[in-house]
Amino acid sequence: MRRSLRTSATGTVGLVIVLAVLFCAITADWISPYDPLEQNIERKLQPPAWLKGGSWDHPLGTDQLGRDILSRIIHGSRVSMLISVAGTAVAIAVGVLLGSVSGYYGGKADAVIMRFVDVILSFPFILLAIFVVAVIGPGILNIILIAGFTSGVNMARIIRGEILGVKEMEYIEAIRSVGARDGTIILKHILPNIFNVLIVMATLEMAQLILVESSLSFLGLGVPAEVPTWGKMLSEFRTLILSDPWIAVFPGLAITLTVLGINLFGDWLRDYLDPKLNQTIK
Amino acid sequence: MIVLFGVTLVVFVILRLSGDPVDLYLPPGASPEMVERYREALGLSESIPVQYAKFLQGLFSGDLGQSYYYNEPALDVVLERFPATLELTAASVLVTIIIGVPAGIVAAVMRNSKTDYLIRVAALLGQCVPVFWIGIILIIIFAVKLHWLPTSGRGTWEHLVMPAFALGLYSAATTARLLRSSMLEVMNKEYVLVARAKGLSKAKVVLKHALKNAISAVITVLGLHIAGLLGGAIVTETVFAWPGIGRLIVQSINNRDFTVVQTAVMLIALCYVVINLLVDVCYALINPRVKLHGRGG
Repeated sequence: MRRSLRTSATGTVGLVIVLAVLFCAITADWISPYDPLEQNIERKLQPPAWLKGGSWDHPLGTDQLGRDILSRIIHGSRVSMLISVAGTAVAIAVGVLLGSVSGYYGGKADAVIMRFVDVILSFPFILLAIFVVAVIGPGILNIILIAGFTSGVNMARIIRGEILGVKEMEYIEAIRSVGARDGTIILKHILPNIFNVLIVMATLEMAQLILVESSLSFLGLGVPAEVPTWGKMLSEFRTLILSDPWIAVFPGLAITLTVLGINLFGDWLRDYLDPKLNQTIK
Repeated sequence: MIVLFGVTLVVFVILRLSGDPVDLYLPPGASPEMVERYREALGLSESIPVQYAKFLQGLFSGDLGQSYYYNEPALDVVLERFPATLELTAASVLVTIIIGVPAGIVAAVMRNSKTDYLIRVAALLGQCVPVFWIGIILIIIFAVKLHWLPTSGRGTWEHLVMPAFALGLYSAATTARLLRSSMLEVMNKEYVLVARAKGLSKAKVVLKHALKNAISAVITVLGLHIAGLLGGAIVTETVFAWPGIGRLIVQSINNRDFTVVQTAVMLIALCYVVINLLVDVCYALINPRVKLHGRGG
């Protein structure tokens, strides 16, 4: 079923959520009511406004150091979005490179690359990420590179399959017979044909990367200590849930909503761009 | 086999990527003599291929190095925690099957009903919630508020309920979604219609004809998920203080105990490979059209 965004309620909801999170990430410095790092011990662990003891000065309450939770969640969107978008970009680059070399040239290159893919995929994704971050060291760039690389390897397999399907088509043979170079054929004639698959994969990958980033942050293996992230907030709040259970609600909600938004939008995109894709991906 | 070999190579390369592992093993501020002595003890003065050969040699003889923190062979430390992780993973596979399979069947059979809609929304949400958050919310509800279950640790079956559920939720959601769509596809096939036309009851057709054919797609994905649960266990174990390999990995990273991390990572990767192999075998058994490599076909 090919449905435009206007007729798909879930797709629209997804897009609105994604745009809202992106807006928060870009304008965090201006729209946050407080500095996310500003501590105020006198006001620590103040509950959200609608609970007893809360006030609208801090709509979502304050944490154990008296920092405004709303401001920290708004700022947390930055790391999530940065890692998700940049990681996906790395993933596409890696996936297209490995997938097209493997699919287009076949033979030995294909065998070597596909064995390599098998090896990387024989580690649970999160385990490999944890291992690399633990050994090489935490940091936003490291997470982007390792998460992007691993997702890219995963994508390479699907891209290879798509290219295998396209490269035997007559028009490719026609272009080749007039003397086009391999690079031109791949870039100008094959890749545009698998663009739909690529864009859908990228969307779903973005959602995955948000979950991976938050898990790494939760385990304390993510970004530097002073940068607020949703995963890290939850890890700090874990010890406080006995006395202040409300505190664990909002950062988790932020992660879930963001992932949900991307997935809803991605599902719609998949149906819109290629209804057949449902089977190929996932 | 090649994959297993590759796994050891990847682990080795990543460890070497860190630059000088001595910096990792020794506490900060170690004296130059200590560094030198340690480097020799670890065999780091030799060339990289020789180091890898020795690493493999150790692997085959079961000697994966000494844990710096526990002062025991790393393999013993890891194996000691292994049953706990297996228990948790097995329990969450059970959760996946008990929740995911019936939900998928019901949603497909009652297509476009309110129940179907509810299951689809729940399944979609289940795929979006981070496992550690579900864990924390479960603790708040069932341990802090209702006092039904213990907050953390391992021992009785009651300790297992929340971690297994938190970990199994994602794959249950995926299973339900996948089973629903492959059931719907199968139920439109002619042989299912014929079975109905012959007068077989709806339940019989669904369970005997449709499910049997729809399940093979699910098994592949389920297999991937079982393996993925091992990875998810790392996070879940941390939330519930479950004394398995996952928690050990996180603790060992904080203790800078990299021999243990390396051993644990390889063990999990090994399980992952073995599980995927078993899944392929199961798949071939259920669907005779799929032949395993090497047997021709």
